[in-house]
Amino acid sequence: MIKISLIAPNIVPNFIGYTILLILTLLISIACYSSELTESDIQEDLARSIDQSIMCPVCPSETIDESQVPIAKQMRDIVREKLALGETKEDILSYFSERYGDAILAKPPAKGFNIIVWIIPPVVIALGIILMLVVIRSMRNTVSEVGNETGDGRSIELEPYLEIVDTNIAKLKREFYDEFGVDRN
Amino acid sequence: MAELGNITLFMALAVSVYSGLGSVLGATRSSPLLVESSYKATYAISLLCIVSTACLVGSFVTNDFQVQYVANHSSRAMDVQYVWVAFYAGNEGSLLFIALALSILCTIAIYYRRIASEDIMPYVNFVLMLVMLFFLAVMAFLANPFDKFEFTPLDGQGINPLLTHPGMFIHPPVLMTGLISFSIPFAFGMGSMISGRTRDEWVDAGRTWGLVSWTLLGIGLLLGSWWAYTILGWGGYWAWDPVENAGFMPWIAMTAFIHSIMVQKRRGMFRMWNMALIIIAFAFAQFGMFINRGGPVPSVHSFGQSTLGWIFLLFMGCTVVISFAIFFLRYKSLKSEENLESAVSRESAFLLNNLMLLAVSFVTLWGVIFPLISELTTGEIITVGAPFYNQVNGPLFLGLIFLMGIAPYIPWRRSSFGVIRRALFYPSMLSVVSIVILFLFGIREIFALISFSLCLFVLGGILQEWFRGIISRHQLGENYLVAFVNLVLSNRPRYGGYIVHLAVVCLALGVAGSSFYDVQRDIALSPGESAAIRDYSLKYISNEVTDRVDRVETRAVVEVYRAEDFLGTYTTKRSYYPGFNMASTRAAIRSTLVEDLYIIPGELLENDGALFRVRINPLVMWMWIAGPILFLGVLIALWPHRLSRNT
Repeated sequence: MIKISLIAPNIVPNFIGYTILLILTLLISIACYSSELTESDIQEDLARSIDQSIMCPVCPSETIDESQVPIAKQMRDIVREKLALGETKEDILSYFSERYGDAILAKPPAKGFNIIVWIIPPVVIALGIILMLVVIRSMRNTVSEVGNETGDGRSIELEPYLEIVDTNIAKLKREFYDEFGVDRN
Repeated sequence: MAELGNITLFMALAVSVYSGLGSVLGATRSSPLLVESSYKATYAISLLCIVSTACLVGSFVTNDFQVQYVANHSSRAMDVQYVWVAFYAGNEGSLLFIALALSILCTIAIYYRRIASEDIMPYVNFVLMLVMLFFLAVMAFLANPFDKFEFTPLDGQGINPLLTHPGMFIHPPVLMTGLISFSIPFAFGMGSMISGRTRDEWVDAGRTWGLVSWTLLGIGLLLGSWWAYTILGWGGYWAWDPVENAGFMPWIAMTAFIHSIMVQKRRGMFRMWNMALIIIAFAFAQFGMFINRGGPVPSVHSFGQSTLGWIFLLFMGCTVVISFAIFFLRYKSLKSEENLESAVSRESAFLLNNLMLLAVSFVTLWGVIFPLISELTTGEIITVGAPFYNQVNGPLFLGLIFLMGIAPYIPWRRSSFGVIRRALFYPSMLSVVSIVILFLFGIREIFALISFSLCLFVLGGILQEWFRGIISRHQLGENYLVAFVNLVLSNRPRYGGYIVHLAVVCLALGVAGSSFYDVQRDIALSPGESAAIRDYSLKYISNEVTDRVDRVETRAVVEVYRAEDFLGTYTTKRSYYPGFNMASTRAAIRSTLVEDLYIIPGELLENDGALFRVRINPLVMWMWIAGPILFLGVLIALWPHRLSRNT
């Protein structure tokens, strides 16, 4: 599958490339790595993931995780108390939505009319994909009718050079048209 | 001075009518002189706008509080350098700024027109003048920045304290210029359709201006995030707030356009599609201005609360209807004769890219308008917040990054899976190895693993491509550095594009790191006390309260340690403005390539104690690194041809 001859001369610079990638991987690892999380750290991270799903009732477009106003602080404390009592994320979210209405939830619950907000995006994307496939298909069909097939695929190694040729041809064409004022239609 | 500003405003209005009509009449009656004169008129508009702007700025400098706009947005206590910020701080002034930016952009676009687009240019000018006319008319009749009171107040109301920051000198103007600059590529597309020259006359100009406006808006958005992160002091940089989305949607649509226009440039295909895309992108930009100007959705930005928003919505509606009407009139002549040769080709990869980008814009739009739909149909108020966008757009972003790692190596016209497999063998091996390493380091979050390995996959592909090119040039006798420079110069759109892709990888690294692995703790400390957060330890030293003319400043000093190593002393600042009942915080940030330690000051407690919110944001610095890289990439891709010929 891989031609050795093509790869051999590239080993030295590729080595530099590998080193760059390795350094970056290690950097990411260090950034996201944390040594032995304590029990309280894990609890706090869980609590924050709940905070991030609850909007602050008095400040526009901020969750109680972001907001610093006193009511957000009280609500964060309630989340932690309830977690300590062993309640799940769902229990806590429904506790808040019963008190403040669904507007308190950062993402609308997938029930009733609001289910549309979740259904429409995948449906539209699926329709888009189908449309694209149809377009590709119809564009290809017209080709085989005309029958201007050109040999086999261009190899990836030649691609940069062929691109230069293509742009030069296009440039020459444009200069020709500009000079002689030929209408390109 | 205000009178002169008002007069020049009305003159600009009259001249824009002349320029628009003149260029169309000149073109239809083949009168080159009339066309030339209308171009000159367009240049004159930018002069008039400059004079008008100078008058408004002058009214600020001389504290002419009889001018309502000046009285509402400045005061005698305001530092003089913030006059420029106050100039666009409100509705009327920002409209004047937009008109100014548009007029200058029009002048550049017309002055540097190319021979290829000479025939469509009168119509391009016509479309631009329609946009110009809209802004000037709104200002002249509905939101005049030079309106005066009957009396002269002794002092103004002052500038919003959140705006008194150096970041405000750059972020709003770049963003507004970015949004309005969408008019230029749009005008080229429309001009080409109206004139009936629907081949590729507009492609070069459309691509150039598309890239320019994409960069302006992109840098504007990034500066906004940077400002939010370093100044607003809430520890984040993006909140999926409606106004942020309003700037984000057109940018994503333009991203689709600058990719697919390459297909038309290289292969003469996708003519209809590009036309439709630029109309969509411009409509999104108009939607952005609508949301920005007292639209129907609440936002932290809530800038220029006014009913003017609805006029912008009307403007957008008319643009969309008329543009698509012309589009369908020209439908036949827009059809390309070139056809797709294979489903596995660069062309179809670009189609997929466009589809996914438009899906992102659509999802974002849907999230912005759904609360309205819900309220209108069921009467129930709901929130569509960050978790929705992350959940729906997140996978689309991952798909786009994956495509970014593959598509550049799929040849034009036709290809096979074998070719792609060979090109991507090493990058995909590398990303598998990186997954293993990351997993061993304890990264178990599945989406985080996918994001990071995709970033490395893209990076691996780009590096491999560069090294291959450099090596083959080196074998022809060039030294490595010369080989690299010549490689980039040999096909600047391509290699500039790779550099922009690198910037996107940096951005993705920052976003993934900070959204999956951020840590946040609220702590209360009394002087001398320490608290630990992960492997950092913070020691609160003291605080100092200073009374200023318009605010009370509280500074708190904190020492930071990691594993017994002293990392430095940091000072946080919190200012309270009693006049506005507003507090602004300046966080202390210890930034490294690995992670940021972010200390936000809270309120003071009894006995000199203080509240702090401490965050660890991994990899965020990579997002800010992305900005200059992106700019460099676009510069390389756009630099005029002649330069490469000389070198």
